[in-house]
Amino acid sequence: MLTLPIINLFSLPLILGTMITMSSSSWLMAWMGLEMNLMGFIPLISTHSNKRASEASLKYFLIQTIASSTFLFSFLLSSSFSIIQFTMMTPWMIPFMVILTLSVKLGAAPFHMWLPTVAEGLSWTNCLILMSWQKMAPLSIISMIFPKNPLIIIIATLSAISGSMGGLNQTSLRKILAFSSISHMAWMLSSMLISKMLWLFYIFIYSIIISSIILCFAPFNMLHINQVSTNQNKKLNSLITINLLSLGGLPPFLGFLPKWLIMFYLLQMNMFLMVSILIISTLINLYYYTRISYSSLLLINSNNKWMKTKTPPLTKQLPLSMISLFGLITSMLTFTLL
Amino acid sequence: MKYGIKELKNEVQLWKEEMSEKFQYDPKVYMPDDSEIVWTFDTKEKLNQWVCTSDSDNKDGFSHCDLTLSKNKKGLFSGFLDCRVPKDGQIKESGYCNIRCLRARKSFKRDSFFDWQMFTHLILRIRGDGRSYMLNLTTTGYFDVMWHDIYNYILFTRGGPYWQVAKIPFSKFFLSSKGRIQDKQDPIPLDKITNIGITCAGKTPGPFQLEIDYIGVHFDGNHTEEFAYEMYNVPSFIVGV
Repeated sequence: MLTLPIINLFSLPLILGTMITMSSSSWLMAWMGLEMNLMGFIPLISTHSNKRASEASLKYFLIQTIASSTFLFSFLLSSSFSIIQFTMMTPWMIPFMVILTLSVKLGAAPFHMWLPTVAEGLSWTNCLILMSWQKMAPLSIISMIFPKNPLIIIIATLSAISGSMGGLNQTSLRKILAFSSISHMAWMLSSMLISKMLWLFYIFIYSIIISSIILCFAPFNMLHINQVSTNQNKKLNSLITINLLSLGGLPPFLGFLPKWLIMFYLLQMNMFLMVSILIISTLINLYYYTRISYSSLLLINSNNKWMKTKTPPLTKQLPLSMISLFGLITSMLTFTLL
Repeated sequence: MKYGIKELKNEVQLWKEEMSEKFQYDPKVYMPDDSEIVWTFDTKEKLNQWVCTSDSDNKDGFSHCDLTLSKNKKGLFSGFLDCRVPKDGQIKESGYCNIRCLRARKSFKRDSFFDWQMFTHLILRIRGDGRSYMLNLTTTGYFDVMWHDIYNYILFTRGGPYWQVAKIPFSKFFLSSKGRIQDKQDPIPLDKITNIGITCAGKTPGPFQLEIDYIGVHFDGNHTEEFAYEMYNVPSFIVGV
């Protein structure tokens, strides 16, 4: 159970850890920030008196510690390469190892299998932190050290394909969003080939959209597709649809803006195959997003007159959903006026 | 060698079915009042998917039971419940009979789960003898402390000549581990169910019989209960809960 003292105590290392990593100038401080972030997140996800959450938190802890220790090992090797003459490690292997270990931490393909199972066991709030904030620190290390490594192209392509294909067979909402997060990881990694600021912009927009989606699902305890379809609240269904289409990168919603920028700059760099794979995977993602919401909007559901349930007002959901709806147009207008 | 090749053919066939279902990418989404019959008991092959055990198999008692095909081509779980305690100085109580289905599995003998997340109720069409049976939904976890987690609920039977459809919400099932009801309860993880079983136990010795037509799952759109037992959040300074 997340009581306020626990949130106050452990959210501090969670936030500070990421900020230390993002502002560090040495390998050791970056690693330390990752560890601090992990130490802050683990108590937040394992405080529920629910064996499913404790199983998920244990799996998360094991995977992250293995990745962190391998990351520590790889950068220690890079610093000691000139000292230890008998090592077999050649310089090209060190960025290879660093990027792979950070991909494990991110949940990028081919190391993505833990993300849906862990996300399935967490509460919605912890899912949100896992999918947005926990990505910042490893991505910042990759962008600072090896932004234009060819391995990033391979990982981005694999993430796009596995994120889109994996989510097709899912009916659990958290797993769908986990696979969607893997797919978006592909876009973030490919944006690093362009510039260091673009991935930050992408993750910022992604965090807004995913927060608005989770704000729609969490208060109503929706965990499954058929719970969305049997929901009687028409306004909520509309908001869910808007946010999912925005997440899918469909214009005129906000989610289209970062994808548009990445596509534009990647095409200028003549990376046509990469763009094609990203677009096709996004299309597949859009299919399973619309599958969540179409049944609630289009199919007729019987409304029980004798069962009056009080639905809470949508005051929290509306502002973020309006940003999703009008964000693109507003930002384009602002840009043209400036 | 011949047996191995036959097994390999069966497993490859299972694998092909799995892959074709996987690549259809069309998971079934159930609407309110949809049901799915998971087990029927109309043929001997279907009865072979269930394992019948009693305390005499483990040398814990003298009861015996069997799962056979009744005259009406339904499953008949019957036997004799004997509450006599074997005189070995260790056992205090005795008398249980159980049927349990085989674990859900994928091709090549890989363990799988029954995914019933989209359902809210367990339905059974049964004709009992008035005894109360225990329904067991085993959710074997990944870690060893969770290997013996079973969610239980009592199945009350009427005993008359008429069939009854027992519709039990999953929110009513309570957690027990190795037969002991746990203090810390939580809702059943419906995507991690490995087996379902029915136990006949108690302090009333004598013959018993339970005729089962089908066991299935049902989605009731109006059922909003998450968990029937204490769900309030205990302050974190209270330990052990």
